[in-house]
Amino acid sequence: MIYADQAATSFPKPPEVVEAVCEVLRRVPGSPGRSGHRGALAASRVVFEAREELAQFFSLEDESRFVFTSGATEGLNLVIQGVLRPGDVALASAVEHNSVARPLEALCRQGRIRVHYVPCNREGFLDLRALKEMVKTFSPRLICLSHVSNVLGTIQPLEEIVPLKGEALILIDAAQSVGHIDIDLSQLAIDFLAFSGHKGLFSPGGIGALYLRPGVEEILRPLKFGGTGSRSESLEQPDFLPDRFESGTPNLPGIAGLAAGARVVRQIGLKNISSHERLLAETFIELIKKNPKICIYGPKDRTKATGIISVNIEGLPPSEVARRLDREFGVMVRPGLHCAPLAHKTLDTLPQGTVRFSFNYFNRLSEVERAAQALLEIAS
Amino acid sequence: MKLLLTFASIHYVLKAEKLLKTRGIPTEMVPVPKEISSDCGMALVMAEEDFKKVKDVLTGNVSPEGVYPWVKT
Ligand SMILES: Cc1ncc(COP(=O)(O)O)c(C=O)c1O
Repeated sequence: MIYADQAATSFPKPPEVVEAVCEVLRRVPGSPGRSGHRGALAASRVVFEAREELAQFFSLEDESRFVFTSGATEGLNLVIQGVLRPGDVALASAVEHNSVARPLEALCRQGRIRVHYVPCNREGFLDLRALKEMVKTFSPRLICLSHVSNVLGTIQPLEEIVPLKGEALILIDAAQSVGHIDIDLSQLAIDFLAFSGHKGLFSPGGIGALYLRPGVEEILRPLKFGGTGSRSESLEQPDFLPDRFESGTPNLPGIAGLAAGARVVRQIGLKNISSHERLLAETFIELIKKNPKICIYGPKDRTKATGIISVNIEGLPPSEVARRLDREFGVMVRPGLHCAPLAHKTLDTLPQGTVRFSFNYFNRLSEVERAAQALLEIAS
Repeated sequence: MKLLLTFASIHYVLKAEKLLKTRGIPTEMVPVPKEISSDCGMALVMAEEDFKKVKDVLTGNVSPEGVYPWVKT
């Protein structure tokens, strides 16, 4: 069995993560911030230390800039629905995931905002000249960008893109980049960064976080209002971080797992992770490109991509290729549109999409070679 | 005498506790007395003579919501 669907969710989960999740379930009685007893306090410490871990992970001092969410999708929705006002314009790249495109389009349909998509080339890279022009023409309130395309693995050069934002706020969808490539938030003027734990940070699903640049919380409306354990005498939502955006009892085992996973990533080192993933992708491509019936998408220069590779076999639908990979070879991949129809429009792979292989640090070279062999056999 | 410091939420109590601990300033975490707030939060208690040092450590990092004389009941 070969798991090559790491971009959907990572597997296996490291023992440190499993242990951290179980430890909370076994030993922590109480809800964080909801009582004064020692159990509740222990729960609050789990959350506090997890936030500290995130600050360290992204090279920041202030842990209160991170708000826990149920995943990238919630963080993206919180920002998109929380900062855009009637009449605003938003820009998004032409390879966005539906977790960005759908909330934007929903606001458009209600007649509240307008959205324009910044073109990307066939390798998935944002057209920087077009971005510059569109920022000038539309004076957008918000720019949304996937840091790494979930279809192609393409890494957008944030250090070149972020300075082009002008007066706009920039929201980075880091679902596919966190835990794969280094993100130093002390060096980048990013306003919001949303991510999930279950992909690159090896946590269970249903937990993630949103980073907010100092000051932006004042213009962000919460998505949810409710109990926070703080200021309970007031019927008004707290105005301070992180409580303002964390209503409801949090996913404590998830938070513990997320922090443990981030620690694992720091221990392995992002340099080691990136270079292993690149080796896997390069090996895979080297093997499959022998067959001209296999079309490979994404950056030719794999130093600019992660372990995600989309392919198609001439004359075979992606769903059929994926089915045969699973049934006959035990190789698990994801066919179709990968929740990113915009990306497939850019690639001209609508309506069938592609077959996506995605490898991570825990995949061995031999697995990648066997996966390539399986694809070659199906293509022959 | 001792002083009791309250904070906006448990996050800031823990943050203040950590900062003070790393500077070697002794504190004790106690439930917020019901005369101060009906919220079931926590507060930090410390010696009055440490208060100037405490302020120096917390300024720019965490601001207490309230400072009260602490009479142990
Ligand atoms: C680029 C991108 N954005 C957002 C998401 C949504 O993540 P989640 O489903 O964990 O909220 C995903 C994963 O499916 C993704 O690949």
